[in-house]
Amino acid sequence: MSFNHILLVLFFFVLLPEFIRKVAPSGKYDKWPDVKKLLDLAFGRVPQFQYNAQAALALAMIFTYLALKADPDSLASWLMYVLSLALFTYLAHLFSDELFDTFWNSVISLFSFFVLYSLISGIINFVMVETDWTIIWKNRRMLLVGPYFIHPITGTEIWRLWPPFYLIMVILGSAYGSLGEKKRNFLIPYAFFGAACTMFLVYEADYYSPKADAMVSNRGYDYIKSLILLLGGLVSGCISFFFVHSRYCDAEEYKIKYFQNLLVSFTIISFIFTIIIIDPPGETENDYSWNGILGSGVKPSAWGGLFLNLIFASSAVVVGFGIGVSLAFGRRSNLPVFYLPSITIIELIRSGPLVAWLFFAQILLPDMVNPVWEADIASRVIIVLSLFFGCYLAEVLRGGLQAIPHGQYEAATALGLSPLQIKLQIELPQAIRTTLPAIVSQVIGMLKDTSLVYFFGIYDAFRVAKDLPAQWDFIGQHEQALLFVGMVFWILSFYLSKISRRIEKNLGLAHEGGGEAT
Amino acid sequence: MIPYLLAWNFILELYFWLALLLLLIPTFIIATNNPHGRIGRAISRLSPLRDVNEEGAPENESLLARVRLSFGELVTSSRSTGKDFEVEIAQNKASIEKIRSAVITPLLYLIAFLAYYRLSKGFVQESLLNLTIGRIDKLQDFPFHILDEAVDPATKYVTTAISIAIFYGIYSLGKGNLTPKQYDFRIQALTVVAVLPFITYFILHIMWLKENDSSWYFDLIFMEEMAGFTLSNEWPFETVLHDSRWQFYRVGLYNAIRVVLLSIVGCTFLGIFIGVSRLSRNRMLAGLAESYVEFFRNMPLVVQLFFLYTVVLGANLPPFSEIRDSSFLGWIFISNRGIVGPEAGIENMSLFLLAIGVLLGARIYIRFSERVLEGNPTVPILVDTLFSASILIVVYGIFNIVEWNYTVKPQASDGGLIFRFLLSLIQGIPTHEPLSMFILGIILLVGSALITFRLDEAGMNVFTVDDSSEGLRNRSILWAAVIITMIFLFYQSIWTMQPNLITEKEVMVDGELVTQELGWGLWKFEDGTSQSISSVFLSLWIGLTLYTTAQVAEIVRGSIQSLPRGQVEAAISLGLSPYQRLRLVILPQALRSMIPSMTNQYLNCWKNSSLAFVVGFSDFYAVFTTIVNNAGQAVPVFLMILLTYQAGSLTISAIMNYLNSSVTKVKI
Repeated sequence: MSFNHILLVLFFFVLLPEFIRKVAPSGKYDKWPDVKKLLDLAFGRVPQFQYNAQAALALAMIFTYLALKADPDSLASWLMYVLSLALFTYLAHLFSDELFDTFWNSVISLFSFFVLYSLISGIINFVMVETDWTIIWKNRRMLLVGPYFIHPITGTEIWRLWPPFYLIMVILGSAYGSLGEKKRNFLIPYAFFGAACTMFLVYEADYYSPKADAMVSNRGYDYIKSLILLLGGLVSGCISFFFVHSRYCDAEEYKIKYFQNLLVSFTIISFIFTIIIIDPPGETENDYSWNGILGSGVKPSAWGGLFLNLIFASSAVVVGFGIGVSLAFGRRSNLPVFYLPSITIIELIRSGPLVAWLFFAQILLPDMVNPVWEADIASRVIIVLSLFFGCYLAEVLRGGLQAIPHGQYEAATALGLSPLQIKLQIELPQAIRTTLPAIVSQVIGMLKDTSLVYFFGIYDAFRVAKDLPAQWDFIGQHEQALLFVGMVFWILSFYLSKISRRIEKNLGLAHEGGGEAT
Repeated sequence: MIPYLLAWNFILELYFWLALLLLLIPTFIIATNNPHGRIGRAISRLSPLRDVNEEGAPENESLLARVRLSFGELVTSSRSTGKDFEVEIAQNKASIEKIRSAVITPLLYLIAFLAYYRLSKGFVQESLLNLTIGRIDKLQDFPFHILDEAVDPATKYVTTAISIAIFYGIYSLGKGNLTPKQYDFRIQALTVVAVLPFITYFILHIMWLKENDSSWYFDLIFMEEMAGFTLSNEWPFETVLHDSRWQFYRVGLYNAIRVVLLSIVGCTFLGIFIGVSRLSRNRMLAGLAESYVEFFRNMPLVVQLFFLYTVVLGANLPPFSEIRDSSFLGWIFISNRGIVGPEAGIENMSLFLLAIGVLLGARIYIRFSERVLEGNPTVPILVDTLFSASILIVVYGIFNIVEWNYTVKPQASDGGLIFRFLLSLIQGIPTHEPLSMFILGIILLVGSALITFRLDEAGMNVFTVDDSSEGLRNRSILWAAVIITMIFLFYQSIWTMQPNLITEKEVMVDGELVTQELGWGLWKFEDGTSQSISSVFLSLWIGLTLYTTAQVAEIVRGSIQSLPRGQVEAAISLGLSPYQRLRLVILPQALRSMIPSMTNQYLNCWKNSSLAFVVGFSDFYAVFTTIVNNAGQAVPVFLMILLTYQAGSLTISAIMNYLNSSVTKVKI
């Protein structure tokens, strides 16, 4: 008995009486039971606890999973299926006041439940029962850092990625520590993150290849060294969190601001330091140059994986922020030397899609800048991405700047602030505060658009996922890789939008709207 | 090593920058240090001359003892020295400010000066190099030339001069004794001087590239040459290898317009439906809508398109070899190459137009049957009829799009290209030339629409429509009847042919005809019996629609939620049903705030259609990249790409701006 049959039963024996009662003359069919009464009859005696609904939902999902996992025609599968449906019906009973009060409401509820159940059981079936995720598990390092860093010969250069990891952990720990929240708000997610990293990096370094029918080593991956380095990074993050938290949790606000300024400068320096470590400048190899000390490095066109997407996105956002703010102020200026170029640049760059500008970066930009600067493809892509982001940011900020009351300027001028001080200290904070949701959505859009660079031979996460099914063990398994990379991007974007909603709430920007439609 | 250090090359420079930065941070820390804080007190313990603490440092203690005391001060917990708290904060901030003005600002000036010097040096050098004798042919008569050996010293002097000028200018601006006019002039002059190296570099360098690099080419002659490749999606045009590149561009443009129009229509309807469902009282429906929006909004479009193309419409549909088993009654065949349907054409154009005319006539009838209109209704009915007739003319033009004739016949009276083109259009009307009819139809459509859809002085719609349930029911019955009639008439006016899959061929074996089974790689549908929608088109259309729907749904939800709550409560208290509430109260007001954001989303949809190359659909961007790979003329192709996108964006913006002005005529 499939779900369609049950739905048919529900529609005909439960909703039909309601429909008849609705269209027939009043009073004639009032004795027929409606959905709510039926549910109450079935589940009215169940005792109420505080987490009834959540427990019922969790149990129903577990039973669905078991039903899908078991043999399709066996008794166990049928039993699990019936149990899960019974639990869903119980959930319907718990919410029956909202879901089944009018006829059309019941129809919508049943239809939505059908769609939802198909989706959920389809997802559970796909993710946990049907699919073989070995392709992702075996290639997880390549998805993270690209093929250059895990190749048996060139992969020794991966030591260059550990110092940035340590620095990022220290900065994250210090930044969270200076926020002054309860310790466990940070430690519990951090523990999960640490456990996930450990499992991800370390577990099952060798894998079982079905085609070769043997345990195959994962390109000589020495997981003990990675484990030690990883634990060192996590512990250093934890230590920095504790240190900063103990010093600054009760401190004065100006001390915290001073520390945060220090942290920003430290971040910029560590970013430069990271770039120098990964790709030391210069080409000569004598003992006193960067190349002599650090080796010849890894050119940016060889970087890859998810970390490349993150580098592109963060560089584009940081550099683009400067460009965007300058263009926004330039556009609003009265002086022709500022507003004419600003308007030209903004309209020119916004007229084409990002792929057209990436085409420009690949083919036309090298000719234009080559005598002065030998830019490789990654630097050119960063330039173009930051210009693009800057122009869209300028448009967004223009709206925010227009919304500032004019009295602000007059007060600032009366106080004797110079034009630059007015822009940086009065206008910009108010404009950013007003337009923060739009800015965050642009940042999320930029993160998603970094997956377009695959067209230029750069091995970002999307290209790696696209080319994974060409491996001999995993021919034709397209869905797993694409879904995994899509999910990673999805998680990052979703997390960013949740953070932005929290920031909006803290800034008092979330408004209670009216308008319920149906 | 010493000569190495004295050489001014890149590595030394990086040492210099790093050392400067590393010096800056401790300076900042120490300079802005709170003398009452831990580090400050520790330092004061070391030096007997700083008398910050009440106790002071004993003068006759040895250095070791002082170091020990200082270290002790560093690790013990901090305590206030008992001074007034506000005074302490003010003193700290004053000391920070003093150090900043005395130390930090000059250092920043120095770093900025050196950075600008380093940045502009290369550009100045290249500009001067391009100004040497004989380098650029176009500048032969330019009076100002430089000798080759003078370039390097001149670079240094010019760059230093520019840098000093700029930073003196910034300093003089900061002094603060300028009138606003002087300030404005100086800052403009400063900016011009600051960007002068870069602008001269670009101008001179592009002039040099034009003469020395064959791919920097500003002509469009290459577009008339043979293209040399074939397209994968060409309906309704046919392109062959010998067609000019202009023809390929035209096909690509129509492809893109088709996909974007269909996506915009789809995403508007679906987006409004999902946005309104998101606000439903029914928790499940709202949850479903929210999960849809969150899912599709946060996933990159490239991944979605590729997933649709590879998995959903690729691996999950039956392969072409099994196409015989997956057909609907032999009329529609589905495979991973796309959907193949019957070939259809218009046998009787007048019957076809009659079918559409029935629909439009019903519309006029409904519009005028319950009108509240003052005066004689004849003229409005006539204008509306003209509007409907112009729609029919436009449809006629579109359905004969393959026969559009752009060539212009030379006339005896030569009045220029545009005049000849217009004359040929006008002369085409009596002979039912499709392009002329199309343009005539568009003109009549726009004109009559402007008249027939106007609002009166109070901004109210001239017509009221019965929105009660009976009125709705009557109208629905009428529309149902009209649509059935329309379908019947359509069916009469078109001819269809069942697609014929050829799987065998006749071969002479030993003198007699034998039918031989072909391998599935050679199967094809007989020419003229089928039409196909390729899976690339479907994946691009569905992917673009689903992605843009999520954005539109968010916009709709936001604009509905920004309405004042009193509107909805008043509508409820008036006894309006939910559908009436939505249609009469909520959506008209929500449209005002929705339209600018929707314009943005439509523009994004138009620009996202460039991702057709991911799935292999030949829209004009993909055609252009192939042309660049073949012919190598990157610069004019890039300019044409930008111009085409800009033209499309301007069209969409113009239409939406007109809509915007029409819904904001009423002042709320």
